[in-house]
Amino acid sequence: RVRRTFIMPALKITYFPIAGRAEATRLALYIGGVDFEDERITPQEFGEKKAAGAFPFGSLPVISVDGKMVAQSVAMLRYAGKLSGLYPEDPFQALLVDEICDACEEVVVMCVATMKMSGEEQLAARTKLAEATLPAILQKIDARLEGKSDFAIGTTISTADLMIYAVKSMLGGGVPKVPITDAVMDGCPKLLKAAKAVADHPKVMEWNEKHK
Amino acid sequence: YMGQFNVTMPALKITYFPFPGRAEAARLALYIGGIDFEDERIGFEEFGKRKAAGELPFGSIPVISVDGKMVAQSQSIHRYCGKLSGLYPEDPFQALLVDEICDACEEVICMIVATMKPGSGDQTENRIKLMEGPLPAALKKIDARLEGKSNFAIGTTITTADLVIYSLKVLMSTNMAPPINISVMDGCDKLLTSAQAVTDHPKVMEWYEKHK
Repeated sequence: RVRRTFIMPALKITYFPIAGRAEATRLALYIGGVDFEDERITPQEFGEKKAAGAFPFGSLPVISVDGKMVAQSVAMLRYAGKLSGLYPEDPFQALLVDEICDACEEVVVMCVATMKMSGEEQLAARTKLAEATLPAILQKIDARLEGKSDFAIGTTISTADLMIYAVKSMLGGGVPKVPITDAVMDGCPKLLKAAKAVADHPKVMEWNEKHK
Repeated sequence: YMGQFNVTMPALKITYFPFPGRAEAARLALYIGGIDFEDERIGFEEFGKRKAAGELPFGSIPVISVDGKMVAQSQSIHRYCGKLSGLYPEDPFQALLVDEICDACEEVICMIVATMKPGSGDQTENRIKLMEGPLPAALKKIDARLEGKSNFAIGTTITTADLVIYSLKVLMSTNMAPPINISVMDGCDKLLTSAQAVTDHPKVMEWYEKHK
Protein backbone atom coordinates (compact mmCIF):
# COMPACT_ATOMS: atom_id res chain seq x y z
CA ARG A 1 0.00 0.00 0.00
CA VAL A 2 1.10 3.60 -0.54
CA ARG A 3 1.91 4.42 3.06
CA ARG A 4 2.21 8.17 3.03
CA THR A 5 -0.81 10.45 3.23
CA PHE A 6 -1.91 10.15 -0.32
CA ILE A 7 -5.14 11.23 -1.91
CA MET A 8 -5.95 8.83 -4.71
CA PRO A 9 -6.12 10.72 -8.00
CA ALA A 10 -9.08 10.47 -10.37
CA LEU A 11 -8.16 7.60 -12.66
CA LYS A 12 -9.45 6.59 -16.08
CA ILE A 13 -8.17 3.76 -18.26
CA THR A 14 -9.03 4.10 -21.95
CA TYR A 15 -8.84 1.06 -24.21
CA PHE A 16 -10.82 -1.09 -26.62
CA PRO A 17 -13.66 -3.28 -25.32
CA ILE A 18 -11.30 -6.25 -24.93
CA ALA A 19 -8.87 -7.52 -22.31
CA GLY A 20 -5.70 -7.08 -24.36
CA ARG A 21 -3.10 -4.67 -23.06
CA ALA A 22 -5.32 -3.01 -20.46
CA GLU A 23 -6.60 -5.97 -18.47
CA ALA A 24 -3.63 -6.37 -16.14
CA THR A 25 -3.86 -2.68 -15.16
CA ARG A 26 -7.65 -2.83 -14.73
CA LEU A 27 -7.26 -5.89 -12.51
CA ALA A 28 -4.46 -4.36 -10.45
CA LEU A 29 -6.71 -1.44 -9.55
CA TYR A 30 -9.80 -3.60 -9.03
CA ILE A 31 -7.99 -6.08 -6.80
CA GLY A 32 -6.65 -3.17 -4.77
CA GLY A 33 -10.08 -1.58 -4.43
CA VAL A 34 -8.88 1.57 -6.21
CA ASP A 35 -11.65 3.45 -8.04
CA PHE A 36 -11.22 4.11 -11.72
CA GLU A 37 -13.28 4.83 -14.81
CA ASP A 38 -13.03 1.88 -17.20
CA GLU A 39 -13.50 3.66 -20.53
CA ARG A 40 -13.91 1.37 -23.53
CA ILE A 41 -13.99 2.88 -27.01
CA THR A 42 -14.55 1.37 -30.44
CA PRO A 43 -11.82 1.19 -33.06
CA GLN A 44 -13.69 3.87 -35.00
CA GLU A 45 -13.82 6.27 -32.09
CA PHE A 46 -10.14 5.51 -31.46
CA GLY A 47 -9.33 6.36 -35.05
CA GLU A 48 -11.17 9.67 -34.81
CA LYS A 49 -9.53 10.64 -31.54
CA LYS A 50 -6.10 9.53 -32.74
CA ALA A 51 -6.43 11.67 -35.86
CA ALA A 52 -7.31 14.58 -33.61
CA GLY A 53 -4.06 14.00 -31.68
CA ALA A 54 -5.77 12.95 -28.47
CA PHE A 55 -3.25 10.28 -27.54
CA PRO A 56 0.43 10.89 -26.65
CA PHE A 57 1.73 8.04 -28.82
CA GLY A 58 -1.33 7.52 -30.97
CA SER A 59 -1.96 4.25 -29.13
CA LEU A 60 -4.05 2.61 -26.44
CA PRO A 61 -4.21 1.89 -23.59
CA VAL A 62 -3.71 5.20 -21.86
CA ILE A 63 -4.32 6.11 -18.26
CA SER A 64 -5.56 9.55 -17.26
CA VAL A 65 -4.40 10.67 -13.82
CA ASP A 66 -6.35 13.74 -12.69
CA GLY A 67 -6.82 14.45 -16.37
CA LYS A 68 -3.20 13.99 -17.42
CA MET A 69 -2.96 11.23 -20.01
CA VAL A 70 -0.03 8.80 -19.99
CA ALA A 71 0.67 5.85 -22.33
CA GLN A 72 2.72 2.62 -22.30
CA SER A 73 0.88 -0.36 -20.86
CA VAL A 74 3.74 -1.78 -18.78
CA ALA A 75 4.40 1.62 -17.19
CA MET A 76 0.67 1.92 -16.44
CA LEU A 77 0.61 -1.51 -14.82
CA ARG A 78 3.53 -0.65 -12.58
CA TYR A 79 1.82 2.59 -11.50
CA ALA A 80 -1.44 0.77 -10.80
CA GLY A 81 0.50 -1.83 -8.82
CA LYS A 82 2.04 0.88 -6.66
CA LEU A 83 -1.38 2.37 -5.88
CA SER A 84 -2.89 -0.99 -5.07
CA GLY A 85 -0.04 -2.70 -3.22
CA LEU A 86 0.63 -5.26 -5.96
CA TYR A 87 4.12 -3.91 -6.76
CA PRO A 88 6.93 -4.53 -4.28
CA GLU A 89 8.38 -1.61 -2.36
CA ASP A 90 11.69 -3.43 -1.94
CA PRO A 91 13.84 -2.50 -4.96
CA PHE A 92 15.22 -6.01 -5.46
CA GLN A 93 11.81 -7.69 -5.27
CA ALA A 94 10.57 -5.01 -7.68
CA LEU A 95 13.49 -5.83 -10.00
CA LEU A 96 12.42 -9.49 -10.05
CA VAL A 97 8.81 -8.50 -10.81
CA ASP A 98 9.93 -6.05 -13.52
CA GLU A 99 12.09 -8.74 -15.16
CA ILE A 100 9.06 -11.03 -15.49
CA CYS A 101 6.85 -8.22 -16.80
CA ASP A 102 9.45 -7.12 -19.36
CA ALA A 103 9.88 -10.69 -20.59
CA CYS A 104 6.11 -11.15 -20.86
CA GLU A 105 5.89 -7.90 -22.82
CA GLU A 106 8.43 -9.31 -25.29
CA VAL A 107 6.05 -12.23 -25.85
CA VAL A 108 3.15 -9.84 -26.47
CA VAL A 109 5.23 -7.76 -28.89
CA MET A 110 6.26 -10.86 -30.88
CA CYS A 111 2.64 -11.95 -31.26
CA VAL A 112 1.32 -8.48 -32.06
CA ALA A 113 3.99 -8.08 -34.76
CA THR A 114 2.30 -10.85 -36.75
CA MET A 115 -0.95 -8.90 -36.88
CA LYS A 116 0.60 -6.50 -39.41
CA MET A 117 1.36 -9.45 -41.71
CA SER A 118 -0.98 -11.35 -43.97
CA GLY A 119 -1.31 -14.58 -45.89
CA GLU A 120 1.66 -16.94 -46.17
CA GLU A 121 4.03 -14.61 -44.36
CA GLN A 122 1.70 -14.39 -41.37
CA LEU A 123 1.10 -18.14 -41.23
CA ALA A 124 4.82 -18.87 -41.45
CA ALA A 125 5.64 -16.33 -38.72
CA ARG A 126 2.92 -17.62 -36.39
CA THR A 127 3.89 -21.25 -37.01
CA LYS A 128 7.49 -20.47 -36.06
CA LEU A 129 6.33 -18.67 -32.95
CA ALA A 130 3.96 -21.48 -31.95
CA GLU A 131 6.40 -24.31 -32.57
CA ALA A 132 9.69 -22.84 -31.42
CA THR A 133 10.09 -19.25 -30.29
CA LEU A 134 7.22 -18.90 -27.82
CA PRO A 135 7.69 -22.19 -25.96
CA ALA A 136 11.40 -21.40 -25.63
CA ILE A 137 10.97 -17.92 -24.18
CA LEU A 138 8.04 -18.95 -21.98
CA GLN A 139 10.11 -21.76 -20.51
CA LYS A 140 12.85 -19.25 -19.73
CA ILE A 141 10.31 -17.03 -17.96
CA ASP A 142 8.94 -20.08 -16.13
CA ALA A 143 12.43 -20.85 -14.85
CA ARG A 144 12.62 -17.36 -13.33
CA LEU A 145 9.57 -17.86 -11.14
CA GLU A 146 10.56 -18.43 -7.56
CA GLY A 147 8.14 -21.26 -6.79
CA LYS A 148 7.86 -20.08 -3.14
CA SER A 149 4.10 -20.05 -3.57
CA ASP A 150 1.63 -20.21 -6.46
CA PHE A 151 2.62 -16.62 -7.25
CA ALA A 152 5.45 -15.64 -9.56
CA ILE A 153 7.57 -13.69 -7.08
CA GLY A 154 7.29 -13.88 -3.32
CA THR A 155 4.18 -15.13 -1.62
CA THR A 156 1.50 -12.63 -2.62
CA ILE A 157 -0.07 -11.59 -5.90
CA SER A 158 1.89 -9.01 -7.85
CA THR A 159 1.79 -7.30 -11.22
CA ALA A 160 4.01 -10.13 -12.52
CA ASP A 161 1.14 -12.58 -11.97
CA LEU A 162 -1.27 -10.24 -13.74
CA MET A 163 1.06 -9.97 -16.76
CA ILE A 164 1.36 -13.77 -16.93
CA TYR A 165 -2.42 -14.09 -16.72
CA ALA A 166 -2.87 -11.47 -19.45
CA VAL A 167 -0.35 -13.20 -21.72
CA LYS A 168 -2.09 -16.55 -21.27
CA SER A 169 -5.44 -14.94 -22.06
CA MET A 170 -4.00 -13.35 -25.17
CA LEU A 171 -2.43 -16.61 -26.36
CA GLY A 172 -5.58 -18.61 -25.71
CA GLY A 173 -8.05 -15.96 -26.79
CA GLY A 174 -7.69 -16.32 -30.51
CA VAL A 175 -5.84 -13.00 -30.84
CA PRO A 176 -3.61 -13.69 -32.65
CA LYS A 177 -5.23 -16.61 -34.33
CA VAL A 178 -4.19 -20.21 -34.53
CA PRO A 179 -1.66 -21.78 -34.87
CA ILE A 180 -0.63 -19.85 -31.77
CA THR A 181 -2.62 -21.05 -28.76
CA ASP A 182 -1.96 -21.17 -25.02
CA ALA A 183 -0.58 -24.66 -25.59
CA VAL A 184 2.74 -22.86 -26.00
CA MET A 185 2.66 -22.60 -22.19
CA ASP A 186 2.31 -26.36 -21.70
CA GLY A 187 5.91 -26.83 -20.54
CA CYS A 188 5.60 -23.98 -18.01
CA PRO A 189 4.07 -25.33 -14.77
CA LYS A 190 4.90 -22.27 -12.66
CA LEU A 191 3.47 -19.86 -15.24
CA LEU A 192 0.28 -21.91 -15.38
CA LYS A 193 0.04 -21.90 -11.56
CA ALA A 194 0.44 -18.11 -11.47
CA ALA A 195 -2.18 -17.62 -14.19
CA LYS A 196 -4.56 -19.92 -12.34
CA ALA A 197 -3.91 -18.16 -9.03
CA VAL A 198 -5.03 -14.94 -10.73
CA ALA A 199 -8.06 -16.56 -12.35
CA ASP A 200 -9.09 -18.01 -8.97
CA HIS A 201 -8.62 -14.73 -7.07
CA PRO A 202 -12.01 -13.69 -5.66
CA LYS A 203 -11.74 -10.12 -7.00
CA VAL A 204 -10.74 -11.39 -10.45
CA MET A 205 -13.68 -13.77 -10.47
CA GLU A 206 -15.92 -10.87 -9.45
CA TRP A 207 -14.47 -8.71 -12.27
CA ASN A 208 -14.92 -11.44 -14.87
CA GLU A 209 -18.53 -11.96 -13.72
CA LYS A 210 -19.20 -8.27 -14.34
CA HIS A 211 -17.54 -8.36 -17.76
CA LYS A 212 -18.93 -11.48 -19.38
CA TYR B 1 17.98 6.91 -2.14
CA MET B 2 18.87 3.57 -0.60
CA GLY B 3 18.99 5.34 2.77
CA GLN B 4 15.21 5.35 2.80
CA PHE B 5 15.20 1.57 2.65
CA ASN B 6 17.57 1.25 5.60
CA VAL B 7 19.59 -1.56 4.09
CA THR B 8 23.24 -2.08 3.24
CA MET B 9 24.05 -1.81 -0.45
CA PRO B 10 24.31 -5.23 -2.10
CA ALA B 11 27.36 -6.33 -4.10
CA LEU B 12 26.56 -5.29 -7.66
CA LYS B 13 27.97 -6.39 -11.00
CA ILE B 14 26.76 -5.33 -14.43
CA THR B 15 27.78 -7.65 -17.28
CA TYR B 16 27.63 -6.37 -20.86
CA PHE B 17 29.66 -5.81 -24.02
CA PRO B 18 32.45 -3.23 -24.03
CA PHE B 19 30.26 -0.44 -25.38
CA PRO B 20 27.46 1.73 -23.99
CA GLY B 21 24.46 0.11 -25.67
CA ARG B 22 21.81 -1.25 -23.33
CA ALA B 23 23.91 -1.09 -20.17
CA GLU B 24 25.02 2.51 -20.11
CA ALA B 25 21.91 3.94 -18.42
CA ALA B 26 22.39 1.50 -15.53
CA ARG B 27 26.16 2.05 -15.32
CA LEU B 28 25.73 5.83 -15.29
CA ALA B 29 22.88 5.71 -12.76
CA LEU B 30 25.10 3.85 -10.30
CA TYR B 31 28.17 5.97 -11.03
CA ILE B 32 26.27 9.25 -10.68
CA GLY B 33 24.87 7.97 -7.39
CA GLY B 34 28.32 7.05 -6.11
CA ILE B 35 27.38 3.38 -5.78
CA ASP B 36 30.10 0.77 -6.12
CA PHE B 37 29.67 -1.87 -8.77
CA GLU B 38 31.79 -4.21 -10.86
CA ASP B 39 31.61 -3.09 -14.49
CA GLU B 40 32.19 -6.43 -16.23
CA ARG B 41 32.71 -6.14 -19.99
CA ILE B 42 32.85 -9.25 -22.16
CA GLY B 43 33.35 -9.85 -25.89
CA PHE B 44 31.02 -11.71 -28.27
CA GLU B 45 32.97 -14.95 -27.88
CA GLU B 46 32.74 -14.97 -24.10
CA PHE B 47 29.08 -14.00 -24.35
CA GLY B 48 28.49 -16.93 -26.69
CA LYS B 49 30.19 -19.31 -24.26
CA ARG B 50 28.15 -18.18 -21.28
CA LYS B 51 24.93 -18.24 -23.28
CA ALA B 52 25.63 -21.77 -24.51
CA ALA B 53 26.42 -22.84 -20.94
CA GLY B 54 22.99 -21.58 -19.86
CA GLU B 55 24.45 -19.01 -17.50
CA LEU B 56 22.24 -16.15 -18.67
CA PRO B 57 18.54 -16.14 -17.61
CA PHE B 58 17.29 -15.06 -21.05
CA GLY B 59 20.42 -15.77 -23.07
CA SER B 60 21.02 -12.04 -23.28
CA ILE B 61 23.03 -9.23 -21.74
CA PRO B 62 23.05 -6.89 -19.93
CA VAL B 63 22.47 -8.72 -16.70
CA ILE B 64 22.95 -7.39 -13.21
CA SER B 65 24.14 -9.60 -10.38
CA VAL B 66 22.84 -8.55 -6.96
CA ASP B 67 24.69 -10.38 -4.19
CA GLY B 68 25.31 -13.07 -6.80
CA LYS B 69 21.73 -13.36 -8.05
CA MET B 70 21.61 -12.61 -11.76
CA VAL B 71 18.70 -10.66 -13.27
CA ALA B 72 18.13 -9.64 -16.90
CA GLN B 73 16.08 -7.06 -18.86
CA SER B 74 17.88 -3.75 -19.35
CA GLN B 75 14.92 -1.52 -18.45
CA SER B 76 14.33 -3.37 -15.18
CA ILE B 77 18.03 -3.08 -14.44
CA HIS B 78 18.29 0.68 -14.95
CA ARG B 79 15.11 1.24 -12.96
CA TYR B 80 16.61 -0.71 -10.04
CA CYS B 81 19.89 1.21 -10.33
CA GLY B 82 17.92 4.45 -10.44
CA LYS B 83 16.13 3.51 -7.21
CA LEU B 84 19.44 2.78 -5.46
CA SER B 85 20.96 6.05 -6.63
CA GLY B 86 18.03 8.45 -6.31
CA LEU B 87 17.60 8.90 -10.08
CA TYR B 88 14.17 7.24 -10.15
CA PRO B 89 11.25 9.13 -8.63
CA GLU B 90 9.65 7.88 -5.43
CA ASP B 91 6.36 9.54 -6.33
CA PRO B 92 4.34 6.99 -8.34
CA PHE B 93 3.07 9.53 -10.86
CA GLN B 94 6.49 11.06 -11.51
CA ALA B 95 7.80 7.50 -11.86
CA LEU B 96 5.02 6.78 -14.37
CA LEU B 97 6.14 9.76 -16.48
CA VAL B 98 9.75 8.56 -16.36
CA ASP B 99 8.70 4.99 -17.24
CA GLU B 100 6.63 6.24 -20.19
CA ILE B 101 9.68 7.98 -21.66
CA CYS B 102 11.94 4.98 -21.05
CA ASP B 103 9.44 2.55 -22.60
CA ALA B 104 8.98 4.78 -25.64
CA CYS B 105 12.76 5.07 -26.10
CA GLU B 106 13.05 1.29 -25.79
CA GLU B 107 10.58 0.94 -28.66
CA VAL B 108 12.85 3.13 -30.80
CA ILE B 109 15.88 1.04 -29.84
CA CYS B 110 13.94 -2.11 -30.81
CA MET B 111 13.11 -0.61 -34.23
CA ILE B 112 16.82 -0.10 -34.86
CA VAL B 113 17.96 -3.41 -33.37
CA ALA B 114 15.39 -5.25 -35.53
CA THR B 115 17.42 -4.21 -38.58
CA MET B 116 20.44 -6.05 -37.18
CA LYS B 117 18.72 -9.45 -37.11
CA PRO B 118 19.70 -11.92 -39.82
CA GLY B 119 16.84 -12.63 -42.19
CA SER B 120 15.25 -9.20 -41.79
CA GLY B 121 15.96 -8.18 -45.39
CA ASP B 122 18.21 -5.51 -46.85
CA GLN B 123 19.70 -3.78 -43.83
CA THR B 124 20.55 -0.46 -45.50
CA GLU B 125 17.16 -0.29 -47.21
CA ASN B 126 15.31 -1.00 -43.96
CA ARG B 127 17.31 1.60 -42.10
CA ILE B 128 16.74 4.25 -44.76
CA LYS B 129 13.00 3.54 -44.53
CA LEU B 130 13.17 4.03 -40.78
CA MET B 131 15.05 7.30 -41.16
CA GLU B 132 12.53 8.63 -43.65
CA GLY B 133 9.48 8.14 -41.45
CA PRO B 134 9.03 5.99 -38.37
CA LEU B 135 12.15 7.09 -36.45
CA PRO B 136 11.71 10.87 -36.66
CA ALA B 137 7.98 10.47 -36.00
CA ALA B 138 8.53 8.34 -32.90
CA LEU B 139 11.23 10.65 -31.59
CA LYS B 140 9.06 13.75 -32.04
CA LYS B 141 6.28 12.10 -30.04
CA ILE B 142 8.72 11.38 -27.21
CA ASP B 143 10.09 14.91 -27.41
CA ALA B 144 6.56 16.26 -26.97
CA ARG B 145 6.23 14.30 -23.71
CA LEU B 146 9.21 16.00 -22.09
CA GLU B 147 8.05 18.52 -19.53
CA GLY B 148 10.45 21.32 -20.40
CA LYS B 149 10.49 22.46 -16.73
CA SER B 150 14.28 22.26 -16.85
CA ASN B 151 16.92 20.76 -19.11
CA PHE B 152 15.89 17.34 -17.79
CA ALA B 153 13.18 15.15 -19.27
CA ILE B 154 10.91 14.96 -16.24
CA GLY B 155 11.00 17.30 -13.27
CA THR B 156 14.00 19.38 -12.44
CA THR B 157 16.69 16.81 -11.66
CA ILE B 158 18.41 14.07 -13.65
CA THR B 159 16.51 10.79 -13.86
CA THR B 160 16.86 7.47 -15.67
CA ALA B 161 14.71 9.00 -18.44
CA ASP B 162 17.58 11.36 -19.27
CA LEU B 163 20.07 8.48 -19.18
CA VAL B 164 17.95 6.44 -21.59
CA ILE B 165 17.52 9.42 -23.94
CA TYR B 166 21.28 9.88 -23.77
CA SER B 167 21.82 6.17 -24.60
CA LEU B 168 19.50 6.53 -27.58
CA LYS B 169 21.48 9.53 -28.82
CA VAL B 170 24.72 7.57 -28.41
CA LEU B 171 23.25 4.67 -30.41
CA MET B 172 22.41 7.04 -33.24
CA SER B 173 25.53 9.14 -33.25
CA THR B 174 28.23 6.45 -32.99
CA ASN B 175 27.52 4.65 -36.24
CA MET B 176 26.17 1.53 -34.51
CA ALA B 177 23.56 1.08 -37.24
CA PRO B 178 24.74 2.93 -40.36
CA PRO B 179 23.40 4.88 -42.15
CA ILE B 180 21.12 5.78 -39.21
CA ASN B 181 22.52 8.95 -37.72
CA ILE B 182 21.68 11.78 -35.35
CA SER B 183 19.75 13.73 -37.99
CA VAL B 184 16.71 11.64 -37.06
CA MET B 185 16.61 13.71 -33.85
CA ASP B 186 16.39 17.01 -35.74
CA GLY B 187 13.59 19.12 -34.33
CA CYS B 188 13.62 17.21 -31.00
CA ASP B 189 15.01 20.09 -29.00
CA LYS B 190 13.99 18.79 -25.60
CA LEU B 191 15.50 15.34 -26.26
CA LEU B 192 18.76 16.92 -27.39
CA THR B 193 18.79 19.24 -24.37
CA SER B 194 18.28 16.27 -22.04
CA ALA B 195 21.04 14.27 -23.73
CA GLN B 196 23.36 17.28 -23.50
CA ALA B 197 22.53 17.70 -19.81
CA VAL B 198 23.74 14.13 -19.29
CA THR B 199 26.89 14.70 -21.37
CA ASP B 200 27.67 17.81 -19.30
CA HIS B 201 27.03 16.17 -15.90
CA PRO B 202 30.29 16.26 -13.91
CA LYS B 203 30.06 12.57 -12.92
CA VAL B 204 29.34 11.57 -16.53
CA MET B 205 32.34 13.56 -17.72
CA GLU B 206 34.41 11.81 -15.04
CA TRP B 207 33.07 8.41 -16.21
CA TYR B 208 34.09 9.02 -19.82
CA GLU B 209 37.53 10.26 -18.73
CA LYS B 210 38.00 6.80 -17.19
CA HIS B 211 36.56 5.00 -20.23
CA LYS B 212 38.31 6.61 -23.15
